[in-house]
Parts: sequence; structure tokens; C-alpha cells
Amino acid sequence: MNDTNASSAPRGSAIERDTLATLSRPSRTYWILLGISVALVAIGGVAWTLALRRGLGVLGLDEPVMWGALITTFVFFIGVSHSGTLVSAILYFTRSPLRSAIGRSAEAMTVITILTAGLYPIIHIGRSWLFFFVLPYPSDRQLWPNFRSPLTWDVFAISSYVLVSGLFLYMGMLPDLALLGRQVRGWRRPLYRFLSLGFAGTDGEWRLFETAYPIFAAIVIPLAVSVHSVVSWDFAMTLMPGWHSAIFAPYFVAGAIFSGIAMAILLLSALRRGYRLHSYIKAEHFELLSKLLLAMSLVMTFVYATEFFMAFFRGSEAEMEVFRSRAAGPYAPMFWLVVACNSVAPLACFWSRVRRSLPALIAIAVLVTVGMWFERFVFIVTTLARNFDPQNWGTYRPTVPELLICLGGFGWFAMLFLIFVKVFPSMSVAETLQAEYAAPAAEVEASHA
Amino acid sequence: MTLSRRSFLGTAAAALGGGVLASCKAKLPRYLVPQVVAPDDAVPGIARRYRTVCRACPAACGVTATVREGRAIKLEGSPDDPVGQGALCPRGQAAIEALYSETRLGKPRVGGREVPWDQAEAALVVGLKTALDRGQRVVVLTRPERGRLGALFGEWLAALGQPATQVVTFAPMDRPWLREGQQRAFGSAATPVLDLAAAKLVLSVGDDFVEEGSPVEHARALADQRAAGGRLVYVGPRLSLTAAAADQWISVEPGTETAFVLGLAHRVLELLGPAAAVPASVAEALRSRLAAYDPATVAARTRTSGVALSDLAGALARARPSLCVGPGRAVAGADAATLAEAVCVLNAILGNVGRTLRFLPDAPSPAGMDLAELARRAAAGEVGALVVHHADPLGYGAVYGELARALQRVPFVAAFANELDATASAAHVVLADHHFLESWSDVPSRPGVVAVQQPVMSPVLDTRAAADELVAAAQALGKTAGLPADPFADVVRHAYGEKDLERGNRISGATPVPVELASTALATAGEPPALRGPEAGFPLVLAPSFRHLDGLPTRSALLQELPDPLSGFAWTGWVEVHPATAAGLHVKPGDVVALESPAGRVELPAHVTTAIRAGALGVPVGDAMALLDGSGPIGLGMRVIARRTGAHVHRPTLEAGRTQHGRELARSVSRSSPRLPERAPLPSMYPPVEHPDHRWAMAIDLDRCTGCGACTAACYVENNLPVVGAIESQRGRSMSWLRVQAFVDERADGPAASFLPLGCQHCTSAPCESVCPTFATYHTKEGLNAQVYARCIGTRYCENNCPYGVRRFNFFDWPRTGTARLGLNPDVTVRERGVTEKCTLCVQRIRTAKEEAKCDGRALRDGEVVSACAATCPTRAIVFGDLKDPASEVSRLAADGRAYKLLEELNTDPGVFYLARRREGHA
Amino acid sequence: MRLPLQVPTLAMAAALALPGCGDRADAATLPADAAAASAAGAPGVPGEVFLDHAIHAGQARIPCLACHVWADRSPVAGLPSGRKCMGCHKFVAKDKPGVQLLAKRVEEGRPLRWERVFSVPDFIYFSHRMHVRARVDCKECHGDMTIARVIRQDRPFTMGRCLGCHQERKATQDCVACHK
Repeated sequence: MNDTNASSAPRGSAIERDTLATLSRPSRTYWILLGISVALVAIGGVAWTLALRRGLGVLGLDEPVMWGALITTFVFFIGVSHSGTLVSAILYFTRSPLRSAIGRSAEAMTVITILTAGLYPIIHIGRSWLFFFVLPYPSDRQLWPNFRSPLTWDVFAISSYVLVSGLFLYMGMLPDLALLGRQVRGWRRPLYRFLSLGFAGTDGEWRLFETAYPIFAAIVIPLAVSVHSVVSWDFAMTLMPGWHSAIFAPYFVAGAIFSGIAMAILLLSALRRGYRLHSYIKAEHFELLSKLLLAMSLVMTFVYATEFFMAFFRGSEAEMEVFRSRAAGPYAPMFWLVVACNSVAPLACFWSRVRRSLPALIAIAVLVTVGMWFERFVFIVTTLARNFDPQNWGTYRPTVPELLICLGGFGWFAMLFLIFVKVFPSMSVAETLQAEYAAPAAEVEASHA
Repeated sequence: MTLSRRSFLGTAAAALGGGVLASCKAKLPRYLVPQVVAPDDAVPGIARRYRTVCRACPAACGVTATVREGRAIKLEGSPDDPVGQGALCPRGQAAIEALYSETRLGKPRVGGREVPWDQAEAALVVGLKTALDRGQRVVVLTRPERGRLGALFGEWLAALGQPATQVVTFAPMDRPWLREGQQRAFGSAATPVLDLAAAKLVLSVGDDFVEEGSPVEHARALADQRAAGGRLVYVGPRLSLTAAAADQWISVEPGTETAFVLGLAHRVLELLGPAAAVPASVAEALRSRLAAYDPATVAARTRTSGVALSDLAGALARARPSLCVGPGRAVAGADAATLAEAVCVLNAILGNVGRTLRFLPDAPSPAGMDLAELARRAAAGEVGALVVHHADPLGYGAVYGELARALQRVPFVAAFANELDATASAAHVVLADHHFLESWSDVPSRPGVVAVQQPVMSPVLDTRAAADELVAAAQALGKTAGLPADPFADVVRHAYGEKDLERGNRISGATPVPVELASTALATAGEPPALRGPEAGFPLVLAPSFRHLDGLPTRSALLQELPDPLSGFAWTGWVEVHPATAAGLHVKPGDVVALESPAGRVELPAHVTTAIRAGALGVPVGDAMALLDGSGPIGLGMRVIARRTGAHVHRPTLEAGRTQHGRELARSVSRSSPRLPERAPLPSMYPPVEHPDHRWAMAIDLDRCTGCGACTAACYVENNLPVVGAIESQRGRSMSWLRVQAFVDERADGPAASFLPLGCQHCTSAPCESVCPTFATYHTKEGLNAQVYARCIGTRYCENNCPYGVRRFNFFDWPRTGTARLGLNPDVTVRERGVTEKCTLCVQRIRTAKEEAKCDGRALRDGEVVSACAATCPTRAIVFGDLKDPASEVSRLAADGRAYKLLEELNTDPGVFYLARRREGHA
Repeated sequence: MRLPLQVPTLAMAAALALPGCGDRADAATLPADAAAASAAGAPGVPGEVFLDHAIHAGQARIPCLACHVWADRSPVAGLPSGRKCMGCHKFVAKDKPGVQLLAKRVEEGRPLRWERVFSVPDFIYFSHRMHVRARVDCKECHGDMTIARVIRQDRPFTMGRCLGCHQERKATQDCVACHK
């Protein structure tokens, strides 16, 4: 595979040019997209202001469903964030050439989605202005967060995840910033100069870089796994029927990778088209991702089946009721939508024609993204709506402001990403070059073997 | 404890109130305003308690009013009162709301406009003068006032040169058929007094005595009777709260109850033979009169199993003494008097008269003018001026249509009222009266007992005492002969000694009068008239409700927000439809149904339930009023057409229906062996929790609970719970800390209702505590699951993880405006938007009690701390106490064989115990 | 922290003769605008009575509980009623304009208004009697009144301060002992 990659890849300065192209003056489409995302953010902001001023009553939440669309979106974005770093790190260790093309944007996506996800718990709580109570800070009240609470674990898990994946992204960019700092004109130049921390690309620096970078890569993988396990414990650690289950941690990690890959496919195809990176992001790359997607989809299907099986195997009335209502209750349509999107649609990837056709993959990725949002929605709401006390059951319907706030999140995500790709090199110049010049060596090794 | 002191308190408090209302809402008031003269007996920050009487319904229970800084903040039953005996119903709990209500009349009105008092008084005088000059009659139309106020009305009329008998009593929810039946059976008008507790078997003929009449008194009597092994059998078309409390519910075809009771009498006479407790001659006469009512025929007519009837008759014959009560509104048709007579006869035969059914001599009430006569004379233009005193005949639509039309011909109507009801708005002059907590009066609650109504605070608004206004008017007319010179307040106060005032009543006692069955009893018993209305219609069964004690929808927001005990509906009426009937009408739960009778039409959401007999429709009295025509009593007797409208109301509690879905939340045991199976304690991974000094706990006896909802109402008032209104509460956002859940489960012997008062369980290992990220909720050393509002950021994680679903979230600020804020309990903070709240086991009461004990240098006594719900519970089903004190009542109950904890399998180890309901047959 | 939760009852809050208002830095036992006036040397403002603790508690050595009579009997310390003031001032310092004003107000039955200086937030339960019984000196929270002409709240009323003292004295540290 390397050779195909190498042979067709353009050489030296061409790569720099192409990479720099992503930093060229923004096209009209770019502005339009940015405009849309900013508008979405604005709308979401207005909706949140309404909730802040009048009270959370403007949301659809009521007895007994106290977590709804907002928390769903939070979990969803955490999930999406997953793949980015993980994919990029794994590819790094597998020395996959694909990484040079997609690694950067994947990492950026991670950091941005986490920043987005982080907003939702704050928006969701009743007194957002006091969210800092969950942070461990010394005060004369001598009060600390409750370290038994999974929410407190979330705070730590997510903040450290932002930190590390942020650093991972930044470190990866160092050589590029140094390289491009010499070439770009205008306001980027001083910025890159400053951010490159005087990285001159000497052998010594490279050696340090080569030792430091893998460490981050190594930290990020277990961290990513832990974050999604912790988020899953928000639910698994309760004793509510349908949540209180040991399967949740792996379930969430799998779901995260699944939705992450889908998102990666979408972003890459967008970048590829937007910046004509066809020579770097190739059909093979998408095929690779689609295989991963298929595998994950099968895992998810297995998890869904296990959940149902366990509920009825355990025979707890409350638990069975929850799953009955999932499959046949007021939320059944959503549940079956989830099955269709997450379990059925990706099966198409068994056919190589589908794997190789970008439009098909995009369609599937969109379906999966939608499916994953609804999956979170369904398992959060059905449990709360069918709790232990039959006379405390209810049906939750999100209100318009609620959905607008969720939409605003997507706008926020898109906005930050669009800004990122214009401000920073969204493809790793250095690594592309490396992959490029490493190619002959690889060939040699191949022939020796 | 005299008015003067209190009025000082009041003026001071009022001054404060004024000063403060001006200042910023959210901040503490800026100025501190001490009294000019401090009352010797009032200490700010310390609650004062005054005895008075609850006037929310005619039962007139004695109450103790808690007063803080000159403002009444809570009512509780007075233990010295023979009627309420220390308990209070939801209605009584909510009575304090009317005192501070924003819709309350705060000024007199003339011609629909607010005016100063002198103008209103002038208008009253002019109105009376014209009437007198024209030689027309002056009539007083009043709610039942059998004390000094009633007497004063007579004296006042006399002073004006009118017959003193022109005092018309307006008591729409009175049950005249009982008196008439008793008159026929015993030829006596004495007041019957029921001794439910002493009866081994109580037969209620559609008499919902735990809801109507004197609910508090009877509910407790019933609970004691059942606890002592007694039984209650309920005969009627509807599973009312009383029927739910019963051991057996026999549902008979509406309109055939008389036949059923006569059938019973027939069979009982057979069984008793010579043992019947009536003279042989009378017995003989009865046998012949009842010959036609043999079990077979009766069973056929009433569509019941003859077995049920014979069994019941047998049980009655065996159980000595027994007691038959009724008929109640649910079965009182056009022949209600005959039915009442039959019940009296049954009691006589069974020898209950003089044992469980006593008759006390009644204070001779002057045979005044009755409504019919008033209507007639008014229509004839004889009445020149009408003084209405807390009566609202115009509110009842067609039921008093004739009277209403006649009243339009009265040239001058003056109304004393607290609220602008239909009659008041139609009156020419409206005189804003005091609330009963602001004024003096006295109420003979029963023969030998007079409850003294004393003001506990000075008036909130610019109101004046009705009696004084009338006397003033008479003086203005120069006709004061025989009228007291002093203010009415002094008249009443001086009539009672300091002791009476402290007790809140004077008990002189009364000796029962002997009565015997008239030989003519049941002589006139004939075929009951058919139900009125279209043949195709369904019989309309009236459901009593604490919202409609006076027959009209209540004006109290709190009472409207409290869900109905059985149907769970709040802020709206409903129609009870049996599933079979519903299927015929294609009605699903929540569908809006239009009911039509010749008299009127109403639209109500359907409550599909087996708690009503198939083919009958149950509707709360207040909502059914529009369907009744004036003929016949306010009771059974109409047929109504029901039709689906297509509209639908969504209500959370309807989703799961009323069954327990096989989950043992409200459990029951068989009466024969009242023990639950032993359960091995579950292993826990948490270290055992230590409670060094106290472990506050609560025991709730489901066998005593009648589901009345007084506990919930008390909780609202005690803990400043906001009323969220129709829309929010139907969304499931009611803030109730303590909800009474009603389950209706199908059993072998028909539907059985059980009630589960459900508040925070104060778990020892609480799921909510471990998940709260900020320690806003935690377990205190005294076993409370505490909630620190200031620390709560509203993640609502605790609410998700509470298996009992008892935590509540403040979705909005629920501002109290104007006078409504004066009624808040200063010991409980008003929660801010965005925080979670829940039952605290009245931690403020614990705090105060501990402080008192510490100041006295002693330990807390059992029963010294009582939560608001336990204090008000009419049946004493709720017991609050300290588990660390082995001698405490709650410890005793926790060790009972019927005791269990909710959702035990989750091992949350609650501090609240339930005692399983005892049922007949197999549990 | 944000504004305290809503005031439970106005009557209560107003009658609370609890000294205290954490947020207001500089206020006095006379109507607000008078604080400035008095600083400028003028004794209070016309129409309002100016009370000088330095004279009463200081020179005259009147113990706190002589006027704040409920401090050892109730959660609320209480302010003296107008008539109580007159108990002394019928005889004492009758020539002073302030006292004459006081007499006039009491005659007319118009209550005096005092500026609130100290207060704990509404969601806090504070019992004066328990603290007095525990031999906590008034000045530990309220400062030395014997020298205070215009009263300022010079020490913070914060949870930290309550806790500190409670720890020193081994008093309860249960949240709901104070949070109501």
C-alpha cells in the first residue's frame, strides 16, 4: 500500500504548496459555511439566555425525566471526540501513511468536540452560574466536591482529556509551525513564529521531538478509553433499571469510536473536496475507515442484543419494563431508527463497491451520526420515563429552545473547526514529507522481506 | 391572651409589612421597625399558639393556630376538641390560604366599585331604610350560624321591626333526607351521634363519611374500629375513599339501594326472629311490609348476587353491636328519605339504637323561613332588602335557579363575603368580612359542645366584622332595641371564661334521649321513582371531594393543586368511566367527554377505572352541579348523556394506569395472619452508618390511611411549597414533597384500592447522596437525608437516581406576591429557581424542639417533635419519632410484623417504614 | 455567592431585630442617608431618632441584654420598643432634642425605624439564645459597641467565620444546623 501511496504522491515543494493551500484566502463557500455555523451559535445562545432568565422550565424536562436532549448531546459529542485522537494515535503507532493526511484534522476535531461537549453540563444544570462548585478549590467554607460522584469524575476525566489531546495536537504541529513560519506572510507569520517556540528543526530538536511525541500518543489512547468509561459510569453507577449495568464502559467506548469514525469520514471528505487533497486523502483511506466503521457497527449490534438479553435474563420487572418500552413504548420509533442507522445501514460496507464509493460512505456516516445521537437519547430517556414507581412514569418531549441549544452546539463545533483549518495547517507538512521520503526505504524493506 | 395584646402585635406587624413591601423583593428588608409597645406575651422568633375553630366546613373542628410575628402561618388540630381530636383535613389545612389570598375582598364595594367604609355603610343604611319605609320585608340569608351570631341576626331583625324568623339558612350540602327519614322512623329530630369505633360491623349505605359530614372525626373512628378488628362494608355504586377503606365493597345498580336495604332488613328479621330488638308487634308489621323483599327478588333488582346480601345480613345479625350509616350523597335519590328510614329501621332491629347510635337533644333552632318561602316571597316582591352572609346561592346554577331568579326581584341586596363570589358580584353592596382567624364568634359544633372562634391576629386587610356592621346600621336607623351595645367581639369574649378560651371550646355535655321505632315505620315505603333525564343516559353518581365540600369548585389554589386521592386529577374535574362503559363510548383515559342533562352540559376528561360500577358515571360534586336540575336532593337521580369530544388532556399519572404493575409498593397481608414473610437483611458493601443520638424515622400504617391527602396539604403550608398552577402541574412539575399514591388492583373480590403516602424515604445508604457532586445532599448524624439548597447547583442527578422519585426541581421561581408572602413559614427558606428540594422530615421542627429541650436542660421526649404530616393525619396513620429511643411509638411500629420498607431489594435502608394493609381473604 | 434565596416572610424578616447585613459595608443605627450626616458630625437627620451606642453601652454601661431583651430567650435578639426607651428617658436626658423626638414619636404611636447593619442570609438559621447560652460574647460578632458611635460591620459574616468558631468551640458542624 505504501508504494501506491508513494508513487502517486507529489514531491517536495508541491506538498508544502498543497498544504499551504489550505491556508489560502477563504473561498465564498467557506464564508457561507462559517456564516451558517455562527448563526446557529447565535440562535443557541439566545435559547440558552431564555433558559437562564426564565428558568429551566422552558426545557421539556419534567417529572420524572430530569436528563434529556442536552445530556444526550453532551454524551454524543464526547463520543465523537473519541475517535480523533485515538485514530490519529493508533495510526501513528502503526506508522500508517494515512495519518499524515488525516491525523491533524482528527486531533483538532477531538479537541473541538470536547470543548463543545463540555458546555452542555454547564448549560444543563439549574444554576449554571455556580458550576464551579464541582471544581476542587480551597475556600473558607472548607467544602470540596464529592469524590464519590461520577459527575466529579467527569470533571477530572474531561479536563485532563482536553489538556492532553490539546497538547498532543499542539506538539504535532510544532515542526509545521516552524516550517511554515518561515514561508507564510501576514499575521500568521508572527503567530507561527511565536507558537513554534523557536523550533529550528535541528537534529537534537528532532530527537527530542521523536521521543516526546510518542509519549503523548501513548498517554492519549488509555485516556480516551478512560474518559468514555467514566462518562458511561454517570449512568452505570446509578441503580436505575437499564443503566445499572457492567456493559456500559465498553459499550460507550465502542459507541464513541463508532460515531467518531463516522464523523471523521464526513470531515475528511469535506476537507478533501474543499482543498482538493485527492492526492493525499485517497479512496483507500476511506475504505480503511469504512472497514473500521463496519466492525464497530457489528460491535454495537452485539451490545444492543446483550442489553435486551440481560434485562430479560435477570428477570427484574423494572428492568424488563424499561426494555419493553424501548422496543414498543412511546420511544419505539426512535429505537428502531437507531437500529436501522447503527446496525443495518453500515452492513452495506460488506460490499467493496460501497466501501469505494464516497457518496455512499458519506450517506452511511450521516446515518450513523444521527443514529448515535438518538441512541443516547433513547437509553437516557426510556430508563427515566419507566422508573421503579409506575405512578411516577412520564413521557419527555424536548421543547424548541432545548433543540435550538443542541443545534447551537453543532454550530459551535463547525465554527471552531472552520476557524482552525484556516488559522493552522490542517495537514501535517512535516509528516507528509517524512512519509514521502521514507517511501523508498520502505520499498527496500519490502523487497528484503 | 386578649385581643388588645394581639392587635398590638398585628399593628406592629402590619407596619413592618408596609415598610417592607416597599423595599426590594429579593433582599432582606432594609429597616428594622420595633413595636411602639411590645406585648408582654409575644417574643419575636418564638411561635405563639392560639386556639380557635376551623370554619372551612360545617364540621367545625377545633384548631390551634401557630402565629409568628403577628401572622398566622399554620393551622393544626386542637387535641382538646372532641370533633377533630387534634387532627385536620386538607380543607382545614388550606383554610389559611384564603386569609392571605390575593383575590380576597379587602375593601367594601358599592355597585361593583371599591369604596371607603363610610360610603358602604351609608349605602347599607339607605337600602334598609327604603325597604322599611316601603313596608317590605328585610331577610337575612346566611350560612349555618347556630351560635351567637345567628341569634344576633334574629335580634337585629326584631330591632328593625321584622319577624325574627326571617333568618334563612343556606346549607346546600346539608343532607335533609337523613332528618326526614329519622323523623319517620323514630319520630325524633334529635341529633344522631355515631359511635363507629364501638361497632363490630359498620354498614355504610353509600355514606362517604370519611369525606363528607365530619370527615376527620369519622375517619379516625373508623381506623380505630378496624384496628380493633371491626369490619366496614360499603354499599354503593362507586369505590369512594370510604369504600376503599372498607373491607368489602358491594356495588349495586344505582337507584335500587332502597330495595337492597329493605332486602337486608327482611333477611335480618328472618335471622333474628324473636331476637329482633323491636317490639314483637312492630316486628310483625315490618315483616308484612317487607314481605316482597326476599333475597332472590332483591338480588335480581339490584343486580347483585343474592349470596352477598344473605352473607351481609348474616354478618349483621351476628355482629353485636353493629352500625348502619347513610344514605350518603352517592345513593341519595328522590326516595332518599325512605332509604334513610330503612337504614334507621335496620339499626333499630339490630339493637344499635342507644349503643352505637345515640341521639342527643338539639338546641331548639327557631323554625325560620326556608329557601322555598324566601323564593316565593321574593318573587312576589315582598322582600325589600336581603342581607346575604357567606352564602352563594347564585353559584349553583339550575339547582337554585328558582331562588336566583326570585332574588333578582329584590331591590336591595347586601352581601358579607370574603371572596367576590357569584352572589356577592350580583349584590348592590358588598361588605368585606373578616376571615375566621381574624374575628370572634362561636359555633355549637354538636349538642353539648360549643367551639369558640377567636381571632389569632389582627386583620390583614381593611375588613370589618359583619355583626358590628349590622348593629351600626341599626343604630343609624335609630332602631337599637334589644341589640348589644358592645362590639360583637366583647359579646362573645365575655360569654366565655379564660379556661374556655384556652381550650378553644366549652363542653357542657348532653344526655342522650331515648327513641324507639315508630309502628308506622316503612309504612309508606313504595317503589322508588325512576332516575330523571333521558332513558339512554347513564346514572350520574356524585363523588365527594375536599375541593367541593360546599358543592362548588374551590377558590383555593392549593386545594386545586392537590391531586384527587383516587383519580389523581389536579386543577380539573373528571368523569369516572368503567372500562366496559368506556369501550362502548370509545373513550380512552384522558379523553374529554361531554356530559349532557336537561339541566346543562359539562366537558370533563375521562378517568377510566373499575372504581365505578359499569354503566354509571362518577363526577365530583362541584363539576356535576351544572348537570343537576333543582328537583330532588343534590345526590343521585339524574341520567346524563355522555359523548366523546375528541379533545384529550395529557396527565403523567395516567400513563401507567392505577395498578402496581406487579411491583409490591403498597403491600397487604391477610387479616387472619397479619404478618409479612421474614426477609433476610441484604449484604451491603458500605460500612455501617452510625447514628449516635437520634435516628429520625417515620412509620406509615397503610391500614389506617384513607388517602385523604391532609398530609400533603399540611406539608405545603408548613414548608412553603409553591403552587405551580394548572399547566405546570399537569406537566408533572408539582412541587409536592409528599404525594399520596392510589393503586387500584384487581383482586378476586373486585377492585381494591390502596394508598401509599410517598415522601423522601431518608435512606441510610441513599442513592441520591453518593451521586451529588457538591455534597448538597448528605446523611446527617441524626439519620436525615438533608438538602442544602445553597450548595445545590441543580444537576438533578439525585432526582434521576432516586428510586422513589420524590425529589423535586425548581424549574422556575415561584414568586409569592403581596399578602401571600405574609403566610410563609419563616423557619423554612423559599427555594430559588434551579435547586432541588424534597421532604426534610420537618427539620425546622426538630431544630426548634432540640433548642427548647437544650434551653430547659433536658433530653427530647418522644412525641415532642412531630412532622407536619403526622400532626395533621386524621387517622394517625403517620407516626414520627426516634428509632434510637426503643420506647418510642415509631420503634414499636418498626418492629411490627406488618412493617416493611419500600423497594427493599435495592438495599437503600430507608428511615420510613410502611405497615401493610390488612385485607380479608388471602393477601 | 449570589443573592440570598427569597425572604420567607416580610413580617418575620422585618421584625427580626437581628443586627446584621453582610453586604452593606457602612451603615448606621439611623436612617441610611443619616449615616453620612452623622459622619459630618450632625447627630442624625431631622425627623429620625439618632441612637449612640457609645453613650448607652459605653458611658452608661448598659448591658446589651437590657435593651435587646430577647437575645437569651429567642433566636431573635430584638430591638427595644419605643416605650421601653421611654422607661429611662422619662427621666434621663429629657433636654436632649433626640430624646424629645423619641418622646414625641412614642406619644404619636409611630414606630421608630432603625437601619439594618448586620444580617445573615435568609437561608441561614441563626439563634441568638444558643450563642448567648454558649457564652459567646456579643462583641465577637458585633464588635465593641461601647465605643461605636456609628456602627459599621467591620468583620465578615461568612460561612468560613462561623465554621472557624464552631470548630474552635467544638460546636455542631452539621450543615442543616444552620442551613434552613
